[in-house]
Amino acid sequence: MKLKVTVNGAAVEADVEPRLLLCDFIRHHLKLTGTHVGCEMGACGACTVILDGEPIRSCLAFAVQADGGELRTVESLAEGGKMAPLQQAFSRHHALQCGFCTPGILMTLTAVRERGEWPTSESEARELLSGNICRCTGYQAIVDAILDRR
Amino acid sequence: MKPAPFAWHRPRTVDEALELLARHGEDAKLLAGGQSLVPLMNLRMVKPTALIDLNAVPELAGVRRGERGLTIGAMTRQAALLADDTVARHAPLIAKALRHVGHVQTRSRGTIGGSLAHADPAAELPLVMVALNAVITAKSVRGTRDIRAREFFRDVLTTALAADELILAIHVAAAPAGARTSFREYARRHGDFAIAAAAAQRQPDGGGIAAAVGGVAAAPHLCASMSGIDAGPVDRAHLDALARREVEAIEPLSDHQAAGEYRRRLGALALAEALEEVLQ
Repeated sequence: MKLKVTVNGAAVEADVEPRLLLCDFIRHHLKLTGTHVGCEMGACGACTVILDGEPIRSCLAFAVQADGGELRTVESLAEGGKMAPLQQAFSRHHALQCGFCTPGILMTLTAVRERGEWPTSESEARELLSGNICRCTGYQAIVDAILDRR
Repeated sequence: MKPAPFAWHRPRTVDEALELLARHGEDAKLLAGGQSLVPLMNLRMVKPTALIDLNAVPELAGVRRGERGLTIGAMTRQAALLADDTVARHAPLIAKALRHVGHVQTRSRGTIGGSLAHADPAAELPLVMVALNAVITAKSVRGTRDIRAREFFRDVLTTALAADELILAIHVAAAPAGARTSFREYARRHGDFAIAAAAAQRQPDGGGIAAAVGGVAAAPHLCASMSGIDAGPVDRAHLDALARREVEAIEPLSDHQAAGEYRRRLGALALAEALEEVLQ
């Protein structure tokens, strides 16, 4: 199937099998390996990307479904080698250890912030994080980074 | 952990989708938000040879108010429902339940029709539809019919839909002004499927209470003994006893998450809390 999609601002055309998952299209065809693939069954959130402004799990969508859409991955966040404010907050608070889950969390938070919502309490921050599994941090440092990026 | 090959179809209209479904029969699957179907495909527990993607059928999405109360298109996203003022005002129980449906990323894609057609026994939206006595409109090339939600959920992942039918829309009576609603859930982690949950709506002016318990049995359980409980003062001990009697009638599921007897106890607790909240 022919596919046209805007990826991090650049137009991309490809010819893919319908069964190709969006996450595999991103990693294997586009070579954008910042998007991580954990469980491949929608449980861990590591593969979260932004499609047409919405945070989605890219292991639960097919690449062909992104046809005509606008896709953003974690590679889009830093500009000119300078980390985005959210990434800087993560750095300040040591909100990652192994970093496997971090791209999915950053893209979830970026989409939510862009639609004008942001947690103002610890419980709101934890509810927002409920779709992303982190096995290193215990989440506290991530919550701290979220609340510091107001 | 990759799906088996399939032919992908992307109809633009309901009629086109129904033609495809009739032609491919049991070999086809309808793709709504994909938040339950695609994991099953990735695990190869489901291997459709034809995938009929409903995401480009605009007539299936949207919420409107009319003579049948609220009519919600089957492909309306959970995130869109959660952000919808009409739903918040006229179907507050749906809005409350949606906060427990998955996570922000799954609600971006997940649809109401997909949740109902998938019929996970612990899913929140089927539970709410049973409590609210919703009507589900299904269509096939043979015609259109209405199915009451209370007769729709037959067993685990099993509904009254025929293989050639799709859900067009869901109809819910608008909650009258002064109605009180409650949704209570116990899950391992916020957004996970419920171990047990309860939904209740109390009509104003002694109009009665409708309540249902989910997660405990193979399908949502409509509570039978709700008449008269909104007369007189709230007595939590009485509600606890009533809720325990109500769940005794349920044949519970047991799995790795919870034994049947534990599900029943949590179901009774969720129900008593929901009743207490709507009676206050």
